[in-house]
Amino acid sequence: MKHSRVWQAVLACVILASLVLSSCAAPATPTPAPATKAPVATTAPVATAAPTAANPASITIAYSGYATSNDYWNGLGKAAAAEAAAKGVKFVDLTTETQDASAQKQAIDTVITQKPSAIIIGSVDPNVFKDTIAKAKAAGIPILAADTAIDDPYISALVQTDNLATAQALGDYICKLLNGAKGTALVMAGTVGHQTGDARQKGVADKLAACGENVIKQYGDWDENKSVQISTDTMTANPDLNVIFAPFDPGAAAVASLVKQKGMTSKIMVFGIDGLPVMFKAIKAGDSVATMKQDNVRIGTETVDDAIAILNGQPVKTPDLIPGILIDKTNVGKYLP
Amino acid sequence: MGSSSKDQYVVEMKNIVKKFPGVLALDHVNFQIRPGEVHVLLGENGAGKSTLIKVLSGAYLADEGEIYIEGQKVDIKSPHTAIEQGLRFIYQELSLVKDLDIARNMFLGMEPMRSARLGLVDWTKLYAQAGELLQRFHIDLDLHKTVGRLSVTQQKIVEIARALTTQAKLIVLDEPTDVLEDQSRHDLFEVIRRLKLEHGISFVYISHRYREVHEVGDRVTILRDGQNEGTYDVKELDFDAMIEHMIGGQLKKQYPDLTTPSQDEALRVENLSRKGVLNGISLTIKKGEILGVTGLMGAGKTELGRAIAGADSLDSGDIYVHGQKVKCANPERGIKNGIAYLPEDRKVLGLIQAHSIRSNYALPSLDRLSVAGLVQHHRLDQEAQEYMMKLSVKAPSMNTYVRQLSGGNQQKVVVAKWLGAHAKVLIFDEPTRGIDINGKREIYRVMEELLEQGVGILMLTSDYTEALEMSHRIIVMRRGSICKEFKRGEPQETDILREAIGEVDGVKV
Amino acid sequence: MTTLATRFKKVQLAPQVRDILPPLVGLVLITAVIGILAPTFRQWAAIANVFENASILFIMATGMTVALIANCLDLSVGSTYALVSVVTGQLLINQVPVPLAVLGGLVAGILCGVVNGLIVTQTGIPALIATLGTQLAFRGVANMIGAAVDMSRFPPEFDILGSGTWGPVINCIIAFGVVWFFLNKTKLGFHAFAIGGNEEVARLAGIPVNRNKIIYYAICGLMAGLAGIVYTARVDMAAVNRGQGMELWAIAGVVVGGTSLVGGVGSVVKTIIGVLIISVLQAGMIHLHVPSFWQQVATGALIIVAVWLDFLQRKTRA
Repeated sequence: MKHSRVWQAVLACVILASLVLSSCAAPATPTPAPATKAPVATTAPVATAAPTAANPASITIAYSGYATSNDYWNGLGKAAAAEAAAKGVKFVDLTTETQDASAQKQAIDTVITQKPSAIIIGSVDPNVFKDTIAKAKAAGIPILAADTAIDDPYISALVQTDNLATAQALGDYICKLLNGAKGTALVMAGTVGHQTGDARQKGVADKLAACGENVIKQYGDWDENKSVQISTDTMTANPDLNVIFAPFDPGAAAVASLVKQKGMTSKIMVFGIDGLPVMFKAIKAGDSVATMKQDNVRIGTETVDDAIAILNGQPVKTPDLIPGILIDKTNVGKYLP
Repeated sequence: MGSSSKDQYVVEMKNIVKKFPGVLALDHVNFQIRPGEVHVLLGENGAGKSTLIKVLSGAYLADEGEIYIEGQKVDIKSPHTAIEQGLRFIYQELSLVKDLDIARNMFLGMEPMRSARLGLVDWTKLYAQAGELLQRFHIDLDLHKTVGRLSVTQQKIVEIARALTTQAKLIVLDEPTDVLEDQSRHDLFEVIRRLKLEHGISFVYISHRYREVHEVGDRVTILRDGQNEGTYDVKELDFDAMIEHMIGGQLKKQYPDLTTPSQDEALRVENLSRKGVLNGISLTIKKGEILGVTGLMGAGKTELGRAIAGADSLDSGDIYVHGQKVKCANPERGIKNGIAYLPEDRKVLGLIQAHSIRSNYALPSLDRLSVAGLVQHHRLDQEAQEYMMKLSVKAPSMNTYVRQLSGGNQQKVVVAKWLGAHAKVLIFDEPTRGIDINGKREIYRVMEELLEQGVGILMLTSDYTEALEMSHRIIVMRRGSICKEFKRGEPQETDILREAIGEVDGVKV
Repeated sequence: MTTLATRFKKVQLAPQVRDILPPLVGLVLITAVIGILAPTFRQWAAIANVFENASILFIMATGMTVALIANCLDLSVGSTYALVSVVTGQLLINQVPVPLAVLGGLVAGILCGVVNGLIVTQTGIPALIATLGTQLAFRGVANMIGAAVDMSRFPPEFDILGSGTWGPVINCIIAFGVVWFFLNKTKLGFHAFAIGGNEEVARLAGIPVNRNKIIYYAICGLMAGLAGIVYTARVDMAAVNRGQGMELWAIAGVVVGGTSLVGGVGSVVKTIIGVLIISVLQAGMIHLHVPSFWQQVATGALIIVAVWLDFLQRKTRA
């Protein structure tokens, strides 16, 4: 029995240690401070009440992105942190490693009590922030949305890839490649109700339908397993399938390698959106045709700039739509190391 | 008694038929209960007692037959209907919330409300009603006492009290005394008697204990093989006649003659102690000997068994098997050393009900039956088959699920299991509790057989008759210590009881 | 003796066949209905696809079968799957030879299982809570190792593990063989049924319950890891955020096949059928062009029906 006491203690330590490690040791982010450790910046004057130019050193911007385990968001967060450093303002990163809507909301709710000057949210689920926004409003803290819109009039600014326009551009590009050939296109979205995935699906699907494709819409849930499964089943269900679009590059890359295994690469073109290395390699190898790279660095930078501008009482453009960059075989070399 | 007209039964069940796949559980059974009587329902396991009661309670639907309550034909479709009709059922297992006090248990699920809409309970009213009820029925219990701290008898009485919170015509008690100690049964009988005489409530009393029939019953109905063997005034029927009706033949001798044990020692225990539970227990068992250990509930019988088998840890003490000192830090070691513990509740602890005879047999013997971690299925089949024949386990095959076997056959499987594991000492904890007379006899026969194999048996029992008849020697335990050892034939039941309680004089039996 | 033996063989076979009959009939019915309604489903490519997609889940479900039979619920397998994927991926991109990388991944899977087993047996925390905790913790570790790292384009001798129809299917056969042998031929497998059937009886019969449970969790982790490796090879990339919610699919596959959720009863043969039912249903709905919301509703309904049937069966047996 004493023996098991020791075990219990050891185990408790291991569990605690692993939990602590897992919550703050994502290597990609240098200071992913948990909410409780966030530097307190209570001295910052309430932004909206102080339209005069604020001293940059007294500004603290709290940022919570989608997940640090995601390349795209990791780059966005880094760019935002770099811009904050360049402008001499304090920057607190609350992002969790994996996407977790409730953890994100909790972290933001907590940080509001510490009164940062402004909050930037790259939301996992844009629909959960109703009372968070009310609290921020009461505390006079402006909120900016990065990448994904939050539907609330209090949101001071939205900086995002123009997902619809980007997807439409990709759709036009695909139609051009099809060059009048008709077939079936599988166009996937993300999870149900996720604005980004929906816009990407709509942009591509509308254009493809307009140029004569038979469009099948599915939800891939941002999950490679599911995207692959849907794709392979759709392939056999629709022998005339000639286009697969996944709204995220890891999914598109996974689908591309399956299409290759089935020896269908010459018949089925695979497209993604995000602009991640895994997809660049697939494009270079000819497994996949094209992706749209979002300008995550510009989004991160401009959101921080907008936050500072708002705190200084200057007007900002919202929504600030950043266009995507098409990457195919012709220009992929530029993005590969 | 019997002054009311014959048609005015509280409950009358007419020509009840209930079939299960392959079994006719109830074969046109008629059963009538008069107002204000205690009607004992007797029968072997599988005679149809619980099926009949389940039909009455609405748990089963009868295939044929009618039920009349106070002359009105009633269609009992669900337990809810039965309760509405004033029928109450108290099952063998206690069904009280142990952390709540008596009053709250009594009104559980039907608390008087201050506001039904808001779900607010009127606690004052609840306690007032509960107090009034207990007083009216002369039940002397403290309303605020937590049920978990009551004795088993008191808990039974609380269950009866709960049945009385709404207008009850009939209370069915399913083997209520099976878990009760001798002297506390009388308290329960007293409550029953008073409710019957003063309030005209009828009781159906299901029991294995034939002696209780005369103590508490007015009339008795005997079921055998799903048929009503007859309903009698208790006074008309003596013990032997009752048994004869039940088992349908001449009363066979219940207890076997015990053979003389060998002089070799099977088990010796010295100074076994476990803080607060066991104090310096020393005993020996010879090969082929049964040592009976008895005492009141909580005297430490089960704890002694578990400690020897290694299921509980020890503070001090030595254990010798066949003269060799052994250490049993866990049941695994205990079994390797040849000591097996057969727990009291064989349904839960002795066998895996959802598994076959063969699988259950194999459990403690797998080490022996495996080579390099692989089970030798042909050897296992062979052995399981042999033991089934040797112990005449009645089952279609060794792949029959244990839950399909009768109580006696289940116990045989338990014995086969331990013989297979080459057990040298078997510890039986309450081996025949809840088993009918035939099942008991078969278990005793199995014990005899074990003795012939040179196994030493430690029998923990709270049935004094069983201790007297089935032991070579008897040890009486009290508060974790051995207080007396008797030889076979030496003591009377009263002697044992006196030792167990710890009073020298004035014991009522 | 021989006549006796043959007689018992017959009796022995009957309940086994009877046991798998309901899910088997379900599988045949669902397949037939989809085959009749969707012409595109009636081709080898579509069937091969079902097997390929089922294979990953099946490998994971074989381990889950062992765990559930022993009443060791494991909710962490989805995270183990991701963790093993990134461990193997990291090893491969650091030029570790393929066999060693695969071995490394499998060891990581086993370790995850051992951690689960130790927590459950040594602390007494209910398995549901303990493995829910490790589900988070393992994914955290996966993130530490693999977040924002590009792990793709592995050597072809690795990719072969998951490519085509045969890569996954051969792995399935291996997983099935290992688990079937374990459950039916070994002492530890025999013990799994006993522990799941009634832990206290098993303990009193001298079975080292705690040690065994750790082994069952380890097998569950091992198979989740193998699934992670096969899938990593199949899509030729490793990623941290895959396998979320997959534990529920694995449990569903096991339970739909007819293995009891409360332990003591089950077989890996049933799991084949259960996983195939789920895969056929999912593929079938795509072939039938059923909108995706309805796909979720149908799969959910299937699980409820399966558990309900198990419940009814146990009730009638009692």
